[in-house]
Amino acid sequence: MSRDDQIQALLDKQAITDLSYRYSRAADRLDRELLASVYWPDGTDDHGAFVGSAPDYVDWVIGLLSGWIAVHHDNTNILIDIDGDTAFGEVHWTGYYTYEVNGQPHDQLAVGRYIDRYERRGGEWRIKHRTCLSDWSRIEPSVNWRTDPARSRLAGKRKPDDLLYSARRLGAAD
Amino acid sequence: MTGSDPRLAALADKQEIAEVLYRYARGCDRADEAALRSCFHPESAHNHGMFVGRSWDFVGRAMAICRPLKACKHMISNVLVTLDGDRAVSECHFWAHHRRINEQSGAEEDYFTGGRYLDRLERRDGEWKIIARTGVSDFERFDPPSDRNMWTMPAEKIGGKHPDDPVYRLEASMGKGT
Repeated sequence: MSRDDQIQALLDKQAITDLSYRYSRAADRLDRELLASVYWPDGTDDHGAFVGSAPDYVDWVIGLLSGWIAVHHDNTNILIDIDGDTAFGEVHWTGYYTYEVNGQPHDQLAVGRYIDRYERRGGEWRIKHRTCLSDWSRIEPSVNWRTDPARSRLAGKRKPDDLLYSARRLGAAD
Repeated sequence: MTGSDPRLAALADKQEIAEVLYRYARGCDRADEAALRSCFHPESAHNHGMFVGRSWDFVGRAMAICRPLKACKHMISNVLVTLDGDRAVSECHFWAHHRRINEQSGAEEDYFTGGRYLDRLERRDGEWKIIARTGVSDFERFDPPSDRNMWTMPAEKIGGKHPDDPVYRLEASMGKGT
């Protein structure tokens, strides 16, 4: 691999890595447009409970997560294999979910991997197909810290209420 | 090579910014005051938890919290950076664990928290540092300790504080670090 090829691979991996980070931001903040933008319109997704087109997946998962109290996804161990205008990726995810079970808030810790196929079209990488695998999970009653006004002052929220959207304005005062 | 390629410059900027975020995590975990302070410009504003003020004052508070902890770990992921010349905004995820003493019971407990750092950064004299940080919380748990034999391991195999943790010997072996 020439030095230029190495640099191009680095740029491609950065662009593809950002897709997973934008995916997590979109799911966590309930940002439907951002979520749709990481897939090609003819993309597909297999989340087990949902199998189908990317646009239908976006509707399904936004509907599911809207009913939960809090959602936070970390992505690590991103291994990408590039083959021309196609790429394959494995991305570890750790999900922290708070939702009600029998009327009581519970915390679920879930861990798994995305197995992805990406395509580059017109110089832009997006997900063509994502399969979501689960590796392990635990669920326990939540400590319910959000009900304490002092502690919840800086609690994560959904778009457009989350502080992300004010902090992103360059030079804006907090 | 391709030193003037703006895409490469952006890649390097993002890497340098990510390393500031990692250095902050190391600073907390190892109670390394110099490492923590080096992440922020002197006038940097801080808004995290109960603290609102200057980042350099927050460093003192973070040291007071982290240094007595039996164990402390911060993991950084999902670093998404938007660049604009010598300015940038960044969102990263954090996951943190503190093994601490419960103030009411006096017993040890595990504190788990996760959220995001929303940062504004500036590059001055070629170095990226944070000028405003807001910490947002997405989850929080307190649980009784459930480990079985971690603390019976040799001391040098358990994460320590600055300057005792093995990472500082490793860096010194390269002529780096403090």
